[in-house]
Amino acid sequence: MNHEYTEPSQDRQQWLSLMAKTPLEDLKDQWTHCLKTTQLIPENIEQYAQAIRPIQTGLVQVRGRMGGNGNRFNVGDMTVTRAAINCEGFQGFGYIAGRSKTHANLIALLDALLQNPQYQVVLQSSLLTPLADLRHKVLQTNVEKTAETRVEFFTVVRGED
Amino acid sequence: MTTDNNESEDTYLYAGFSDPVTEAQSVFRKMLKAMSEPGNVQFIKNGPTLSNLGSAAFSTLLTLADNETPLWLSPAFNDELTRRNLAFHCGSSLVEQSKDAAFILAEGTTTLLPEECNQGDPAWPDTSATVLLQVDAINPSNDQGQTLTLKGPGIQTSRTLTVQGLAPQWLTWLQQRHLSFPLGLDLILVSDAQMTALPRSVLVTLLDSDSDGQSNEKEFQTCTLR
Repeated sequence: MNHEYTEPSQDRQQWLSLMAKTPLEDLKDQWTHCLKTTQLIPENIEQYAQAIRPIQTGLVQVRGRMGGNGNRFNVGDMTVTRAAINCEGFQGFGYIAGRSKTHANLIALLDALLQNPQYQVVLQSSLLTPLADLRHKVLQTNVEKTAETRVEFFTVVRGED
Repeated sequence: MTTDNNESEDTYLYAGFSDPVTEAQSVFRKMLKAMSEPGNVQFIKNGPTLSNLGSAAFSTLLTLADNETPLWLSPAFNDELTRRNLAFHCGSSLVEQSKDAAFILAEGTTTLLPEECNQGDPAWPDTSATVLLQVDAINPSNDQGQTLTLKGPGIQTSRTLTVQGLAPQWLTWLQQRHLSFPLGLDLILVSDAQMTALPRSVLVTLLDSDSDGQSNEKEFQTCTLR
């Protein structure tokens, strides 16, 4: 390959990851809320977006390494849906686990909007921050629930000398 | 719709097929027709275009090229926009040497020599390259261009094809390539929405050249029968 590849910014990786891990319902709710409260982004913004490639669902082979540094092995196949759109000169991509085309398309749209300096600040504060809080809460609840059932193992050292 | 915000023009991604499966099948069917009846001109209307590539050229690549077919671009097509879009839509790796490519994309007046493309090897003649040449016009309404007489499998008697803007080294090579049969290149000629094919099985003579088509044909038969 001799075509240039530019590393996506840390921010972009983070928001793509966050939106992909947020359940569709939560993402939709927050997005509608954001549209209503901020009044900056036109409500029909979706109509300005064109697909670069139709939304596709397919399989991705997941590979792993034992302990993170062993030999590579195939863990299995994973269903992935992807979308790519143009919106006002910005290109947005959405990749999610599963087969929800709406979810992938919404992420692609938001990714394009988030790259637009005109909307970025507003979206960061009224969409990404609440979503990050929500995600943090979910993870926190998981940790607490797991902690309740935690079992401590003790090993009695035998004296053999 | 503006295209000049933070993505510069030359890295912009354009839409490919809107319905990849159906459109690729339809284009493939047309290519099959053009290949099996050499010189038959097919039209790919309303297909996507890209930079210097017409709808026939871009559609052909969208249909045939993928991550298993190394692609070589002539300097006329080798710009950032084309590279990025072909990488996105086809996933083909681009090669520096035309010998390594399964697909060659060049303009008709290219300085590329047919000998610089992979013609296959005697054990595996099918491993040769397919050459896509974008010429100025196919069967133009004006009287310009070079008229070729085609004979061979898929043509009942003979057929003529007029091509405008095909480099002399390719015209010369076309008339002699039956000598190395079954090795050779399969040629796809495109111009805007038009597409036609000259597979290696077709015998080409220039209409106004001095060479005798009859004697060529005899040579060709001995080559194929051997």
